[in-house]
Amino acid sequence: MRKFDQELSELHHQLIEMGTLAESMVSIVLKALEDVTLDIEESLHASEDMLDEMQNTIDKEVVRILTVYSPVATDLRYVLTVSHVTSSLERIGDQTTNVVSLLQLMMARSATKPEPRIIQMGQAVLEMLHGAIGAYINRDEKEAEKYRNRDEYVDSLNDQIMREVLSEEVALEALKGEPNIAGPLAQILIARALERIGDQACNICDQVPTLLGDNP
Amino acid sequence: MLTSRLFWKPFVYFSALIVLVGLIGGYTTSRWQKEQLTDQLKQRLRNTAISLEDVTKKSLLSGEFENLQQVIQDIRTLTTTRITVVALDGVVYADTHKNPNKMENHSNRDELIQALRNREGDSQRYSDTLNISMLYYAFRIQHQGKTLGCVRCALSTSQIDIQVADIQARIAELVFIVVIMGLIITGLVIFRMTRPVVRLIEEARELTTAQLGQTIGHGFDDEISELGRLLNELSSALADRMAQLEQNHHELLTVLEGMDEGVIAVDKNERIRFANEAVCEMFALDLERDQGRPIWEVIRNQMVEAIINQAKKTNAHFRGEIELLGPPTRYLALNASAIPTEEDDDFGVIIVMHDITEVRRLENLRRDFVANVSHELKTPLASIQAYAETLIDGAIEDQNNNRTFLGRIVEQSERLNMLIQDLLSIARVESNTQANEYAVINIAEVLDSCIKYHQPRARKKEIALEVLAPGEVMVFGETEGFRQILDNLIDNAIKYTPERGRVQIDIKTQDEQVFLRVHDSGIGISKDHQQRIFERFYRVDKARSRELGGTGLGLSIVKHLVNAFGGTVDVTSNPDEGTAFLVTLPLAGSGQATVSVG
Repeated sequence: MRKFDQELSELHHQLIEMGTLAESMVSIVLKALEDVTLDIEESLHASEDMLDEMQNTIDKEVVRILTVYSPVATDLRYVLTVSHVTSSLERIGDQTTNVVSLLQLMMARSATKPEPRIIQMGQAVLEMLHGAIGAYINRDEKEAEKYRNRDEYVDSLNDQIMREVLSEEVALEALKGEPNIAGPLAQILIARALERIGDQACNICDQVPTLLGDNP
Repeated sequence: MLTSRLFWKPFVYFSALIVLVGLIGGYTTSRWQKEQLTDQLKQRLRNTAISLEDVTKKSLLSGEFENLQQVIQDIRTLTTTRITVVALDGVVYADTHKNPNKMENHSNRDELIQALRNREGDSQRYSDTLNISMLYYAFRIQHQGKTLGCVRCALSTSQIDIQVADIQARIAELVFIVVIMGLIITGLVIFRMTRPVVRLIEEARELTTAQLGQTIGHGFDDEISELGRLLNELSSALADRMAQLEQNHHELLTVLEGMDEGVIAVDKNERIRFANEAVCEMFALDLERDQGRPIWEVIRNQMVEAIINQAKKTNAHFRGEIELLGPPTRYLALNASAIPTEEDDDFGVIIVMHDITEVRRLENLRRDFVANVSHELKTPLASIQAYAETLIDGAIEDQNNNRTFLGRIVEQSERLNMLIQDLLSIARVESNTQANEYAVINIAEVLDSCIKYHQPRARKKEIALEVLAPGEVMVFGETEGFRQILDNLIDNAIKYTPERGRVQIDIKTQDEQVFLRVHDSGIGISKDHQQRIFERFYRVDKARSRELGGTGLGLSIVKHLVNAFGGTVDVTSNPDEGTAFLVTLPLAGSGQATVSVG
């Protein structure tokens, strides 16, 4: 194997590792949403730090490969998409920590639990992320398209949660002053964070056509 | 054959040798022939010279050469020999071919110099006088120890040359024929010698590419055939070994494929070398597509990678557990161990994956059961304690309430008793202690008595209790057990049916099966709960169940009993429409009472 191929393969490995870590973070968050008694904050923050570090390493590696080898064609496209994917993964990591902070706030300020729809959303988002990374790795345009389309479902769930939680009662309570709208607000924000994770998964899906060289 | 080095190498060497021998032989023979002819000619010249000795001596002594000239002219006409008489100082006195007076001094001629020194001499050279190549022979003429001169005879060598050329041509012809024949014979001999070897090589080559075990090297009776025999033995031994290996491989593969546990093997570069059916199913792998790809690309799981790395590093077994994202979520126990490869410092890894979802579920069930039992027992006990303490604290004197309190205590004790009874009957059914007491019973009768028992309660709620059953339905089992089944089902139906509802019980027999259906128009059970209502202590609505006096064990008991009698129980229900429990039991025909009871 040429040294360049070897380094490219190593880069690929690192990227997948990062994707796996991000995926596991989302799945941990999903568990915490299902069982609010779980204490995951510390491990999640450790994972987040690791994710950041991985992004740094991979980005440096990308720059190094670009300057040292000046890759062309498929290799160049691949190396360029790697940066996009890492930044998406890193943002996903950020969102997971957001969800956990919001969850804690929710538990502390009100007695509400995450809505079943949020959990549904979380599952959909996790599936999307898993599928997106898979499609990227396998360079499978059809799969990418399939998981990209899941985003509509996630968005619709988000809208539903928004509508339901922001019912008239909550709005009235907020208007009357002295409101305890921490619970509903946290629900909405958690839903939004999950929705953003879904968007990042879409971004990863969008890299697949670039990877294959079909300009969208 | 034509490309065989084995043939060409000796053939070329031998051919070269034969040609060389032929050439040397031809050359020496022709040389010898020429020498022989020259010698013969020389002998003739010598004879002529010696026969002229006397005449020449006389002429030289007398200085009269007329006679000599005449004699040598005569000889010339007979023999074509050139005869010259030369004096000691080289002056030519007589010559057959030229006028001696016009000839130059001959003292520098080789043959004459030799003859003067050694009595005779010869040479072959080109004659300047006659302009042809000639063989000369000179003889010294002596008289009383004093040299007078020489007589020289010479003959043209052209005749010899012709003869020699003729002979050489014949020799060359002969040599050519011999060489060709030699070459042919050599070729044939070498061909015969190398042919078996070449054939053996070709057949052996076929062995390596084609099927092992075919026999080769027949038809020779020397060492070659011995070699062929040995190769045959080797080939058949190898074929046996291969077949055995193949079979082992096949068996192993079948075992691996048939395993419920997933087995996946990766090489030292973490590329997938093998994965069995179970793994492919667990991780949605396509072996054709994914074989040879790195495992971290196909199965993206941190735990899997971590234990592979650990197993590689330390060459030991490693365990781990992973959770597979659902739905439904599955738990896998991983067991990784390193496979040593040729290079000792780098290992492949084999991972065995065991689906422990069921184990986990059962564990949870047990934990829940213990927690539930404690909770269920604690609730009535706490009430009893509270009422008793209130009474002790003085309520016993309170004529208005003390009886009520005591009544509650009795009520809670009964509830406790009921719970323990239910638990006991579950334990009893589970341990199958009554199997030997089974008999053929008429469940229509049992149903009758149950209906009688429940009728008052149904009437109280104005529920229509409808029964549709033949007079005699025989099943194999135990009366008390059936009573419990029916009791529980009818009790539930009445409990969860609102007032003025309807409960329908019918028994049908069909295909040696008994179908007992309890159908109510009650509140129903949602799909999520339907799977779990047969679990112990599982309640759709905890508060309502307890309020209605349930222990949470009824349906669990029903299920266990029905199973013990060799039947099944199913539920179909729609929320707000009603619930139907269907118990299917094997029909016990007349005299046929062989129902397997496990």
